[in-house]
Amino acid sequence: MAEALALEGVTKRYGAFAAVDDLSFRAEAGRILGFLGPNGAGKTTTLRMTLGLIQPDAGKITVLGETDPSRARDRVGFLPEERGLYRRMTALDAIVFFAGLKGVPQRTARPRALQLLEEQGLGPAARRQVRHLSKGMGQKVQLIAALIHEPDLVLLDEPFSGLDPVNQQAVEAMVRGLAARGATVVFSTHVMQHAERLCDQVVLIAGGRKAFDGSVDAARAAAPRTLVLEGDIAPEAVRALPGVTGVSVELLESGRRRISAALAADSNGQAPLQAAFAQGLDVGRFELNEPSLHDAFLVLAGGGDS
Amino acid sequence: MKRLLKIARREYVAYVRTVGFWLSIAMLPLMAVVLGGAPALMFMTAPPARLAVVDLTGGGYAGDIARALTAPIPSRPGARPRKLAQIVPAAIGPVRDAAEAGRRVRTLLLGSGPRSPAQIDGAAVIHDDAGAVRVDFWSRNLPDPILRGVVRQAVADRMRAQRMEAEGVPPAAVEALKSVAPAIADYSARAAARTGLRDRIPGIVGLAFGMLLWMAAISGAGILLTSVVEEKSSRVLEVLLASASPSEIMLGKILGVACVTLTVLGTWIGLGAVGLYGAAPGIAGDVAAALLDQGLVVYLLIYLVGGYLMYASAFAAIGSFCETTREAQTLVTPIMLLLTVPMVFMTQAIVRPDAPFLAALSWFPPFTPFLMPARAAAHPPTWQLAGSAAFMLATAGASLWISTRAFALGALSGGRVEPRKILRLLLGRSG
Repeated sequence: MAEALALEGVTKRYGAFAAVDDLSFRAEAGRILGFLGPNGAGKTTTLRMTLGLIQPDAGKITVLGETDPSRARDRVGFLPEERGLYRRMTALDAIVFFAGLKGVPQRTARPRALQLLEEQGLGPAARRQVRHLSKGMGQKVQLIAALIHEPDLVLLDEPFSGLDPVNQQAVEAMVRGLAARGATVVFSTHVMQHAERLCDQVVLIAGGRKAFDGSVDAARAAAPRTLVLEGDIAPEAVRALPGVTGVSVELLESGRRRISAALAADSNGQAPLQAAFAQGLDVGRFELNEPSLHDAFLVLAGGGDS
Repeated sequence: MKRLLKIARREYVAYVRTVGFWLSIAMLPLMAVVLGGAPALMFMTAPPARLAVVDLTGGGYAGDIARALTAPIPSRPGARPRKLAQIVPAAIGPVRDAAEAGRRVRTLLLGSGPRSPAQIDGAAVIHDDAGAVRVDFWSRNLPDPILRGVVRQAVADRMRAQRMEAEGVPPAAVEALKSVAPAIADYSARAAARTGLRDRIPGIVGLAFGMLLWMAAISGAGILLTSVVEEKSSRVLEVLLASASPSEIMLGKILGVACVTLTVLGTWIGLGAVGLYGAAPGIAGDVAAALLDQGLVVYLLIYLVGGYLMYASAFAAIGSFCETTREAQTLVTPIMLLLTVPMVFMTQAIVRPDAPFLAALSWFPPFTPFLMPARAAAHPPTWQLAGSAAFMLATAGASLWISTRAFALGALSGGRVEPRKILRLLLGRSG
């Protein structure tokens, strides 16, 4: 499959501080890539370099086959983390203006914008000034403005922030729709559930360096499974079970304990559970949890702030 | 180029749709009418001042004052002549001295109620003060300096005539002496001919254009600064940068605001031309001739373009580093202070257009667009016009180049604005 985006050994320094350090990854055409990392990890700097807004100090960035990202500008859609639209323009005019900058003629942009606004339930707000729209409506207008020229590569910086659950679902549907028509979507987010539901590939960076690059399943595999046991059980007894690498204890209102036991990578959970029953531990309830992307994020990012 | 024009068009339309734009278009002509017409209107509508003359010397000054004050004042050709004042008899009765006359005049002046034939606006009490003639000029508040001057001149003329007659000069000769004065003719060495008002027109036109260019540069650059700061703070700039290059954005905005400024200037100049043609077609023709003479209009356009580009690009670049107008104002204050210098010297140019210091200052590129037009009256040599214009255009080009680079850096910068940091970024030393 062809690459829509490729970064090779990209570094960006601000004095002694390396915002992005030797970062390499590829995004294949028509796929959704989640770009994850804690605050200050270098996500926004990477996206800005991908757009050609800032130049890397080292490394190579190829966007839609162009080694100069600015040459691919008209085929890229970008939603910045902090939204920005002309407040006194109507939603429709703002979208048509940005479409014009991407080379879409007005006669094409106007009906397309109206259709997209209708699809997002913003038809009645099309001729309302941006300053009179709610935050969620404004964000959807901004997203439409980023997609109006039907880009081949879409870069979304925190597209779900500030949206209510209904609008988050709508944006998720838009992202899926983009991939379905063959566009490549790269989005950064703090909300792992979105990445878990949407992404074919996740790239995780921490401290400017790549910490993980692969599928969601592969990322989850980096975190341990957890065996949860509830009852009047001594933590030491659980820690001694086969395949358990660590425990955390929570005291319940009933006076009993909920013990979460992290399992070794090669443990499927059966052995420690069988051992617990064999030893006659007072297990009132048990649960074997698969790791989530959030767990994987915490492990891979070194427990950083998500 | 298409993106640049789209950005320019949006900028232009955004401003033209504001109330402020239409206010600024209407403001200058309105102010010109008010400021130009108000004094004349006041003079034409106000009745002549009622002045009482109390002559305690018996020197016959009252008649001379009356003749001087009631002589018709020609206002403009064809208009009805006006009198400066009307002499009315003072209803103060017989008085012993100037002090008593003063007290009675004061009572009359302070009197209220409807205007009666006895009411006065001022009084001249002429009396003898230790052998010298003295005039106590009374008015309700502060004296009208013109009225006071005419009274003084009339009394002085009478006193000189009396002295000359006492010395034996015949009255007819005294009267004839009053009109003795030289005829002055102005010649210009460069023109090798007599000069008149018409010869001053290039200077006046140059000064007017210098002022207009100053206003255009300041207001255009100010609009641009505010626009960039707004877009930076609302994050529109970052979205624009994903669609167009920094140079396209900055030049598009500069072009859009230039069109706004030119629309305002063009309307002002058009209205002024129509007004001038209606009031004085001859002068309007002279102004047109002055503009076309020796390609002055071409130079004025070059100065307009160069001056605007220099200041607009600098202000746009400064705006790109600022998220609040307060930050921006702090950074542009030195430029604004610098801009007051040509304002001071522009007014001097009308009197001494070829003063060496002025000529030297007009070569300083930031001042060239304003001072060179103002020096038009001196008809500076072509090499000076061309040289200063070329120097200014080169500086404008350099300003554009540096500002575009600064704009690209500033648009994505964050945090507090520090001039040292900006300089470091411009020199390519990050961090």
